[in-house]
Amino acid sequence: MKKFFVLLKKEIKELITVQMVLPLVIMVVIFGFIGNIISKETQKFTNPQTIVILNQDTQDSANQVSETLKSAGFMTDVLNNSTIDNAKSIAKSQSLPAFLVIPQGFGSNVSKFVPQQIAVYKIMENFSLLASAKYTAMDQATAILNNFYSNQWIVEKNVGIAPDTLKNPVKTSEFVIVGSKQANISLAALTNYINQQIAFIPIIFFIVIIFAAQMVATSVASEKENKTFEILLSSPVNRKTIILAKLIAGGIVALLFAGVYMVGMNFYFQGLTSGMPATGQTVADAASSLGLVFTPLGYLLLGASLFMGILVALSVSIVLGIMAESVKSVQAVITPLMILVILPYFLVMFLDINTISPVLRWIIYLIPFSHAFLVPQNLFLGNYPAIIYGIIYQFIVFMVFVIIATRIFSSDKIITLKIDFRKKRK
Amino acid sequence: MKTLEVKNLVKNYGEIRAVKGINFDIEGEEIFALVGPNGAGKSTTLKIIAIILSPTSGEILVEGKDIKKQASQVREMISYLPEEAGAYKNLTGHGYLKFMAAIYTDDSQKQKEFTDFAEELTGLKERLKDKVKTYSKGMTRKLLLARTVMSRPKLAILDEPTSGLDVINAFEIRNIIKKMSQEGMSVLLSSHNMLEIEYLSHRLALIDKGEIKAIGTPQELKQKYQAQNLEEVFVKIAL
Repeated sequence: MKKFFVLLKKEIKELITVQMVLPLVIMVVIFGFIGNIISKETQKFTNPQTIVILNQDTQDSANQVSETLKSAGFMTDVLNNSTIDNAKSIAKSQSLPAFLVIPQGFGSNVSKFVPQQIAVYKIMENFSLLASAKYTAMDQATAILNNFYSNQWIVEKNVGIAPDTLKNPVKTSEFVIVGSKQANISLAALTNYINQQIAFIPIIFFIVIIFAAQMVATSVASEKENKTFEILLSSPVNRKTIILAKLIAGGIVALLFAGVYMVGMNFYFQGLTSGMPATGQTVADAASSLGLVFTPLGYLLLGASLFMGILVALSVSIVLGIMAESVKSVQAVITPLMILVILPYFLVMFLDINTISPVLRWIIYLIPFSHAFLVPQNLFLGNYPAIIYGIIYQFIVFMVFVIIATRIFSSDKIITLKIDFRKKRK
Repeated sequence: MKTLEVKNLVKNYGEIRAVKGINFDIEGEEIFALVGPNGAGKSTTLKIIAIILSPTSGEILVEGKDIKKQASQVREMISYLPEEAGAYKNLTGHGYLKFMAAIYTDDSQKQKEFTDFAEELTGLKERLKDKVKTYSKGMTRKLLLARTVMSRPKLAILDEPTSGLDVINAFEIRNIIKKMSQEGMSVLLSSHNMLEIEYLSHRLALIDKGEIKAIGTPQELKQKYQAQNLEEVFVKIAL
């Protein structure tokens, strides 16, 4: 047992280096920085927006449009006796994404119940997601104007029905059903809320798995290349102890990495969501009443599945690392493992596992990493047996690879096994 | 009792027969050299004796103990230095020796003895506080040799101990090997350097294509093959 701890200490010292810690710290800082920037940018769009109105009609028309928009929370900048070019340059100078034009005769035609056309000019300067969000305010403004004038017409025509009733004779009350529970809430709002809670889990798992696999495979390949393995293998230490020390050290460092990554991601998501309108308590309460929140048991199962996934990656990486001819070829030998992580990551993200073909579904189930990606949705749907079977399956795969690694370590293959890519290309 | 007995050792790599039934033994305090060209089977033989590779057939005894049946006991008595080996780059020289001492014994007093002895042998002094990745090839080799003999094994197995080193470093390493042998350690080494073999070894075996072609003291072999030096002996046997 003493030798295990001696080896474990050595492995951790070899794995935690300045070269490993520095990028990790930089990554946390960068995530925090990006989150902060996005927060500030998003905040701009939740603040009252200024709308430039180029008025080509009477002052009354401009005043009415302006007051309508102001009452809906907008700020306005009305340009009388001006041109489109001038409106454009004013909008640009104030970094406003758009302006609208009230045409000549707008006021008199509206009073005669003649439908009118307002020209909306949107200034496109880049193609980012945030840039497209900027135009939403302008779309809202035109919807508000439509609503105002249609209400006015309904009242003036004196049809005897309230405008809102006339325009929305059928109102909906949305219910979401999860298992045997239901809540009176919008599905879109609920989905958005849940995604905010769990979006970072598969990303962190994906990155940690790739990092852990590279780390351990490189460690094994480096020991082979430097022949430090030969020294260890001829020394009085059990070979299973060598494997176990490598696995546990890799697991500890991977968890440390995951923890730091989680802090970084937390900064990022905090920044991302802090600029957005706050999610109402109603949504949080509805999610809670539907069981769509993590319970202590949920966290435990999630942690167990993630850790088992990391252990599977580490055990596979040890075997792959043995096959590497040198440290330089590590990247090539762990490619199959990376594919097995990337595949379920994207399939689970974009597909509904319950509706895809049974063959594809079982292929996903056979990949041990899929189960960790599936845990959040299984937890929310109360599908605990699927989570537990997944963890058991991951454990079996882990043990199989530990046995394979032990067999290799106890045979000549530890020295002779290698994949020579050059030979294969010949 | 002989320190090492190798009987009819055969090693196949698939279809290739790397070692073809070789026999030799080593007495206590003896330095025995395996000499031969690249691919002769020297390193394979050393790796089998170091219990890294398994023999296809044959028997190897260290101090009378079978390396297959009593592997863990044999590992306590041997120590192996591979050709062109490295050490853990992120450990200091001192840290590396301390780590290896803890691999050889659980007794903390003995660990300190091993580490102190190895540190003295390296002659690296203050540089032992530096990380191994900052060492020259000669410094690393001295560190590794000191690691190999720190536990005073019954048998030290040294694969090309001075390969690629400059004259001064090679000289210092040879002196360490000789000193350790005089203090009771048996040494099995391989080398291409005939002058080194002549200077160091009490006996040697000339190996080629997996077979031992001749065995004896340097003097015996020179007399038998009427040669001025071991290089000439080797050329006469090989051609």
